[in-house]
Amino acid sequence: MQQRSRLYLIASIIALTLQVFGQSTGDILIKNGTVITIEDGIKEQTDILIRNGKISQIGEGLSASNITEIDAEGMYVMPGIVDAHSHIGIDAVNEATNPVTAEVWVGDAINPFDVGLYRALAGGVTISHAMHGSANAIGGQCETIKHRWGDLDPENWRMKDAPRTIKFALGENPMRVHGEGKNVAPRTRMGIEQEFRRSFAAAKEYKAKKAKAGTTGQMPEYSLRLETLADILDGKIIIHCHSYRADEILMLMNVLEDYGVDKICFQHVNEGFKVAPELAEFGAYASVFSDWWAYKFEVYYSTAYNATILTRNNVITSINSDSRELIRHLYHEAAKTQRYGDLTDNEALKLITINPAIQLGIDDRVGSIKVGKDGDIVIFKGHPLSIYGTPQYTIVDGVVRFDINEDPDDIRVDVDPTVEIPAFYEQSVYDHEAEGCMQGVSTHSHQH
Amino acid sequence: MKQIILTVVCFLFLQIILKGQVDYDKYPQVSSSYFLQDVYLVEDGTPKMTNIHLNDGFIVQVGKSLKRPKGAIQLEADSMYVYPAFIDVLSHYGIKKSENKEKVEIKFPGMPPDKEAGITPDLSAQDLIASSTPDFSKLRDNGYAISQIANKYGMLPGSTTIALLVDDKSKRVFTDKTNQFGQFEAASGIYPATIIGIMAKFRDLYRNAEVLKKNKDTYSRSSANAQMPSSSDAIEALVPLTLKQQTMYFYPEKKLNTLRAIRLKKELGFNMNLVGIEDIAGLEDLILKENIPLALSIALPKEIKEEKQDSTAQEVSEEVKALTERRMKAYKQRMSLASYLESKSVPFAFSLGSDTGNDLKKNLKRLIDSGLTEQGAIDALTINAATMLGIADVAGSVTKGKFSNLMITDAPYFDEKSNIRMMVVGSETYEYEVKTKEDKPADESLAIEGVWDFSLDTPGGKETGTIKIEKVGDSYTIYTASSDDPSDPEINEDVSLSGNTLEYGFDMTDDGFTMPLSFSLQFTDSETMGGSVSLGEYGAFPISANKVSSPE
Repeated sequence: MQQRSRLYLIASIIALTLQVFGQSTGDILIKNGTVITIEDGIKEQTDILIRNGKISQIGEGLSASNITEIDAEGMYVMPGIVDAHSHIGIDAVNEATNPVTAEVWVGDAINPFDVGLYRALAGGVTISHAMHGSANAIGGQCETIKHRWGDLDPENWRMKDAPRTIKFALGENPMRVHGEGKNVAPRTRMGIEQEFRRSFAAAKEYKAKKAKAGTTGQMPEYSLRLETLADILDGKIIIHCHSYRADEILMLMNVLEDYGVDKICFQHVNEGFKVAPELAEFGAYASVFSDWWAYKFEVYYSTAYNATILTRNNVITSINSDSRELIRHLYHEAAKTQRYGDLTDNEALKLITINPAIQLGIDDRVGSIKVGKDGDIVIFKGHPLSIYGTPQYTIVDGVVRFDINEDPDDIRVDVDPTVEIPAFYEQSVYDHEAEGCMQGVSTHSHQH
Repeated sequence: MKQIILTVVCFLFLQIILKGQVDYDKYPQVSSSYFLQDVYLVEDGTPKMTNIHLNDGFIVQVGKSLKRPKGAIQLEADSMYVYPAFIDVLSHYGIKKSENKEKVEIKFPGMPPDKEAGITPDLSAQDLIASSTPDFSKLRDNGYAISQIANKYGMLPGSTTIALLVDDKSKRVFTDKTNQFGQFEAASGIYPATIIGIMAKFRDLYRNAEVLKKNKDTYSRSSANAQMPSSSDAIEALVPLTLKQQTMYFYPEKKLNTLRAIRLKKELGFNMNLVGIEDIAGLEDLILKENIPLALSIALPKEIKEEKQDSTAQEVSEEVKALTERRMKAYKQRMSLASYLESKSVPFAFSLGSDTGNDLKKNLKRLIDSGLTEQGAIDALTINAATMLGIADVAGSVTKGKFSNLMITDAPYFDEKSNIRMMVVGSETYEYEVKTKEDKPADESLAIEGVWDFSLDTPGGKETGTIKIEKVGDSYTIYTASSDDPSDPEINEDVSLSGNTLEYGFDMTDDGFTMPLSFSLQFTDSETMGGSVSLGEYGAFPISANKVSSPE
């Protein structure tokens, strides 16, 4: 009940801000492009009309008055790229003090000033899944954000109506942070399993207590943590779990089965190729790197064929960045599956469009070019899977947020007058360590 | 809220009257009835000559034809300027960090005791300052008569107290547990350690305070064998906030955190005032549409002067030029926040935070240079602050029936040469001698130009560096550089030698923290000097220097 009223409140806040800052959606006519629809083949010399941020027409010889036109003659037009695993645009990643912090939410920490977001747009990425890190067995709630660069209101960056998601983590990271680092459970992989079981059991008990109290009895002590865990049990939140080893992946599916939870996307999932049929049977999704591994012990047994094997076993698979560098060329990452696994063009592009959209529960809105979907489009010079492909325009809800012809040197939207900016960028040690899944955790190695 | 204000005000009255009477017996004071004759009362920007009668800490009457009542002491303020004394909306004055005698061992960093995590809404600022008994003269000397004081440490440091800034402890009128103070201060290494942890913890605590209230209501209606609901001290202390009997004074510190504080307010529904607002450039309208009362920080960023086009200077690249221009633009936007609010008719106040207001006039003048009106500045420090604190019916203007809190200056406040000559705070008066600077002629026998190596003893260790002195006409240009960064000296132009003394100063900013430095150098001869450097509120420390080279 409280949860619902909170959501209602948030929804009404969004409605209010949209009224004030109405420039969140726009109208655009894209002419004569080669349209890669993802779900309906490739359409040559085709126009796309976006009205009020939505794709309203796809066809030949479209026209509209008083509208921005983009001439896409000789260019490729594809849906905006969706990154199912990222940590850019948020001021905090890990609340690493407790092995279970389901109550925290990175949506509280959205930072529209992060220049990494603009760079992601320059790589054609219109949506990213801003995630909590992997320090805790149950980290925090994540947020699906639309890259509305230039809009300074963090609230407008949240993708309205996107399902809630939460970060779980298996293996070395939570073991090291809590077991080794703080001398508390979990110290082992089996300890991590118990964190999940304990948490779900507590949430069930909490729900029962609340039901018993009703509206007239003594209410149990309120716990935002247990409220959130109960919402997972009720199927209101999609789990995105940091994982590497096959045995642990099976373990978590067993735990979820015991508690009747079925919405899960495994992240990294480097040994996913070993349990691909089991993942498919469970209906679990997989979001992987193309060819990144060996950065710690549990990530040695890996293969660049992972995405292909998972795809061929009917697991909905995506390729993610988990990095403010990789996010700038996810289309290269998708192309690697063709070098290693002979996926078709469309299969490769699905890994960075409709598939991550399915994993985030937003495939009815984005991930393909279809009438009625959001006007999230990227226009490439050269084929997106070619090493020579380069995004020219990135459009979010019908608003051009990146235009390679109007790409100023200083793109910052926020300038701190107390800081004198040097005319060169000096990458500090801190920047390097601050990257990735283990942000905010004092450790000097092992990201993701 | 209204009810609370009334209670607070009644409490104030009662205390004043009671304590005032007690004081008559305690001190050999003839009367606390005062009369101000032929003073310029500054209201609405235009000084008007009038007379004012004060009695027992209150303004009895204001009027041109008013005669001095029998027994009233005439204060020497003829032709001086009278302003309502300043009101600070939130400071940490007199708050000291409690020393942890025993180090608490925290076994589970994810479940620390509330106190260790900075969650102490049950702590009252009145108790904290009662134990340290601060000397309020520092705030008073800068024109303040009232300050709302809050503990400084933690995410929910405690309840606030409104203090009348008098020395006589028996007359310090405090309202206790007036409001709550909040900030995004993370606990170190324990929960909540991040902004996302703090946001979640705040929601959790607040919802629990609501549950507690609900359970207590249920209990009061239930049968005799029901169990009395109980909770932690922290949650118990937040119940008045959930009932809107208290207001949350929130210090967001960082720009985006301002929106995060607003999110909590909107989601949970408590009353909130924002304090210590520094830079909200780009978010002004987003914040203003929420109609949340704002108190701006009195601290300002270090002054950035527009680069003069110097033909002899090194060629500056287009890139550097563009970056400098954007920085300048951001600086101007930051400096015009107050005037922007004024132009939008949004009343705002100022809050001191950890400042004591030594640069108050200087900073107000900088804001006025950026477009704020003088009256706007005075209103922010008086009636707007009183309104925000809910005490406008007893403070914030020179009006019959209000507290006799006056600032009396010898020229209009914003005049370069004006001085505060008297502060009246309740029934107490404080007079100030004017510090006249002796304009001694320069000691002609000294040749101080050249480069000096100095050594400054501070509690943090010895600081060394160089002071280069150049003679320009009759005065000097001084380049002061630390040996850590010899290539980036602070420059003071147009400094004159008075006798054998050279006085100058500048602000040093590091990581957002500003420390004012003022140098007082006495030359023994042309080769050696000594003196002191005062470092903001930390006091003055000895400096000594020897000349290492003279100009050719």
